[in-house]
Amino acid sequence: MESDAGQWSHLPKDLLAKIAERLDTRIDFLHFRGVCSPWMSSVSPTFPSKNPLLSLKLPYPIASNANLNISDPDTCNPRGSFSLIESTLFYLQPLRQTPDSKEALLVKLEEPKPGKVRLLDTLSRCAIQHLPKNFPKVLNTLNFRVREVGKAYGLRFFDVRGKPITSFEFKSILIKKVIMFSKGDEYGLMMIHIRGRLALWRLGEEKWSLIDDGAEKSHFDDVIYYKGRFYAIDYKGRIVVIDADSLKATELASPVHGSRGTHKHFVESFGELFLVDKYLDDELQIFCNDYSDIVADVPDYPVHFEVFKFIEEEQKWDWVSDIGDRVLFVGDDRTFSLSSTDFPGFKGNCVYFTEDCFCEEDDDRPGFDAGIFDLEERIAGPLSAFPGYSKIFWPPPAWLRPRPPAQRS
Amino acid sequence: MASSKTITLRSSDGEAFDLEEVVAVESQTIKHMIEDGCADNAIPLPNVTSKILAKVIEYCKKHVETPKAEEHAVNDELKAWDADFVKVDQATLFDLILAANYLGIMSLLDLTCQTVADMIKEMSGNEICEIHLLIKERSLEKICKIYNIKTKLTLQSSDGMFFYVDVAVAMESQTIKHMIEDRCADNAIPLPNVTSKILARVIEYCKKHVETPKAEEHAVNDELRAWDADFVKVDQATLFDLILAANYLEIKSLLDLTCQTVADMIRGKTPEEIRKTFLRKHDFTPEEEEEVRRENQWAFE
Repeated sequence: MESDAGQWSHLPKDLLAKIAERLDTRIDFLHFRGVCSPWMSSVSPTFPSKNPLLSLKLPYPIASNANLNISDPDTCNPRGSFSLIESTLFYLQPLRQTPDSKEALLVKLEEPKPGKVRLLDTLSRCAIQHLPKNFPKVLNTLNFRVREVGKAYGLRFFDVRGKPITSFEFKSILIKKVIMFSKGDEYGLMMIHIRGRLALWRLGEEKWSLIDDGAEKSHFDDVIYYKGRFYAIDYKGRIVVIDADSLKATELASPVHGSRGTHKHFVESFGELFLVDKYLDDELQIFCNDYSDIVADVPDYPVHFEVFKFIEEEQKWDWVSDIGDRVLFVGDDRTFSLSSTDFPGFKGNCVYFTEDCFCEEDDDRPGFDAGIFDLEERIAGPLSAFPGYSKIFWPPPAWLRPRPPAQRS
Repeated sequence: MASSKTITLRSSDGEAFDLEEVVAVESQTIKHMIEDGCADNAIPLPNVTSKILAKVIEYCKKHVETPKAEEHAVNDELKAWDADFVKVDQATLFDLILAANYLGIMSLLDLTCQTVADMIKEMSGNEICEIHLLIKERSLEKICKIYNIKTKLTLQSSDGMFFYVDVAVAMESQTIKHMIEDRCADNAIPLPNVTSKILARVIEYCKKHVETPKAEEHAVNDELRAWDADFVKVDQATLFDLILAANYLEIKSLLDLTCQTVADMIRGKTPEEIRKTFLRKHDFTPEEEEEVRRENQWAFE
């Protein structure tokens, strides 16, 4: 039984299927099917979803309005349920690329039906309403290289007739952030409600459980599931650690307690936990505007970040000035991290974030308000201020557009 | 002197047992301790629990009391008593073997090991599996050899080579386990689908997995995982043969490992690149090709 060209064709169908079972993204699964006829016929055309929470009716309401800090009476609440919406971040590159080339695009897509996609803003939940005129309606993903980077989640409310309700009128259906977690066979969701309270739901349970973090009024900015426990930080910088089984919350020493930073986020990067605190210096901005004739050294954008790394053995945080080639992404619906070496096109040792004052006139495109904070230079700016890195979210490059049909002989 | 001295033995869990010296010296080990003058206080027996020590003392008492007569009747009565004595659960039986060995009570060692040898002849596949794991756990291979308790199996590869393997290791294969159950394992087990080269590797894998305790500690599991990762660093032909062998021999963990390895070789590649890696031909019918094109589309809303 020596190696020969047809060797893998002698693999029985059930073994091929066993191999395909171990592919964890739909892209890999489709590429498996696209190899040859025996491989294609060894699996069904549908990629088995690894997420049992999709297409489930999730409980509503989260808790009584009073407990969620909403002043409207509970009788005002609409009737319906939540559904978990999943979107995927894809990193695209041309098929043939020189080692030095940094050509790439990071897009976020929601896939309501396999093959039918909706383009979303990369670092927020906004759907892009209008694609540019020359943007192709259909893309063939075999024409470029696609890598799944991660998933982001949201909770969408549907009334009893199945109609989605997105109105801001009903505060009880507005969710700031939701993360999915799994431990063995257990799956669940942890969310931060719009008014800042934490709630958890596990597959099989009928109701959400509000997390009691010991404070009178909680107003959490971010929550993350890290090494089997939840870490949550509120707008004042207070951190609590929540046990995944008992839901008991204990306070943890925080490096940003009492900071005047505006937004605090956790980012997991290569097994380590980071805390990113964003400072938007309104006062500095106003001062610079008013005294622009005498202020010499004005940073273009008075935004900066303080980054901390969690030292688990000591249960404390270290301020970091250098994160190597890592890139930390702070999005509304999820945070994540990539290596700029493995993913060319991103500037290493930087934080990518969104900021209202970066918003350009055309706000109906991915990355319309995205910016970069360079940890080394300690300066922040919109993407356009970083030549060579500004086109990572938009516009779609030439190699993405379909090739003209081959001439038939 | 008519009265015999009293010896006190202390079990591993701290219980004290008083017995006459004449009974205690059924144990060669205790006999030597008394001769060396170490028996003035209680003799500690850190390897023997009170439960087992009680049984051992019961055995020694009975054998001292019964006259070694020429008459068959008395001997038969003792033999019947012995047969009842060993009607205990497997774990207790093995603990008795270990105690008899440690205490140097030859007749008890004979009795218990012969009982195990007879048991194995009557056992089903699952039971044999448990027994062999117990034997391996308590390092009883030497004793088993003396008492002819078969602890090894012979496997024969497709190219005629013989492999002499511990039963506990061979039991990692469900296929072989069923053969033992069905009594097909008395001679060499032929494996016509597996070459000697592959069988050697499979045996190496099974050995490692049987020997490594499945601990909760991450350290041990991480080490095993690292060993597994190295194990599958082989050329494609060997990987392919390992998958087929793991499937034929029904070794789930090996099948999972090898399939995962192939999946890892597929991840992140385009279909064309996968074809190149696995030397597959693009052999789609026009309809299939259209299906591939369609399912790889993104249609924007």
